[in-house]
Amino acid sequence: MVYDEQIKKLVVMRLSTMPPNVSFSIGNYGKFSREDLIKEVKKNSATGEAIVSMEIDLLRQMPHLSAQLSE
Amino acid sequence: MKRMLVARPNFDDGTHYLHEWSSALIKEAQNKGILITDVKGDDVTEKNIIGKLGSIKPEMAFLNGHGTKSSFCGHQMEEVLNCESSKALKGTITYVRACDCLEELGGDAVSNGCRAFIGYGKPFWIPMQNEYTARPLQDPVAKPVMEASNQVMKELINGNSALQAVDASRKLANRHAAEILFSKKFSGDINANPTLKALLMNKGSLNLKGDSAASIS
Repeated sequence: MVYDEQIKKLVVMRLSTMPPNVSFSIGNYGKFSREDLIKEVKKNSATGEAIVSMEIDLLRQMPHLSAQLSE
Repeated sequence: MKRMLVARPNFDDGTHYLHEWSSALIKEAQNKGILITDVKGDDVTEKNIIGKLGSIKPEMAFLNGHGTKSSFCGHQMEEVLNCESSKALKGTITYVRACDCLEELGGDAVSNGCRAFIGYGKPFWIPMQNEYTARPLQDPVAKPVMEASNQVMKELINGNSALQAVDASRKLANRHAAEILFSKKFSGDINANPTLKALLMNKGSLNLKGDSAASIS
């Protein structure tokens, strides 16, 4: 799935607030620093799409977060 | 005596974290009198894992590593189990701590006789603080995420059902997420917290196939 440029910009802005000394291991995609994650999103790679998908999932969860966490 | 097969390759940072965080579970299972077959590092190959599943016939399988929708991979991404060979999991309660395996691999494993297959329907995210990658057990960013995923095996080892294991892991993820959100250190910016992101993502994709009441007790 190719995401809209506006959504990608939003994801890049969200990623840029991550601490610089933290990376993510994302299974067989590999290990990614904040800058790597942003690069993957910008170049529309499969990893970038997985990252965008994660951020959209999280955004959708936000309104329900307090209800979820009290389960 | 109950038996458990553990697979834990160790060839990159992701598998190193899984390898290290599995150690306490192995000890806990041994303390419960469970006989462990611990296949680790470069021994996590298709031949070894399929062979040992066939010869030991464990009640539980705990497989750590990388995954795809249709496969679980061992050392250096060697395909260890796929939809066809998932019949090797027949009779087991299996927890695969790897990406994406739940729907296809898990579904086929259950069709082939696996009692319950617990896994992730999407990527399994591990946040890592760079200063701690050589000491995964001390990594404060990864700790809540790894504890929440370890909870699945803790419950199974204690004789609880597959569904109880999944629920307990989700609850612990919620508790850790709430601790972060309400901590004095929290900046108020959810984006800036990789632990919170990984907790929510992994919790959302953790589920089970098969008999939700399956347990080793």
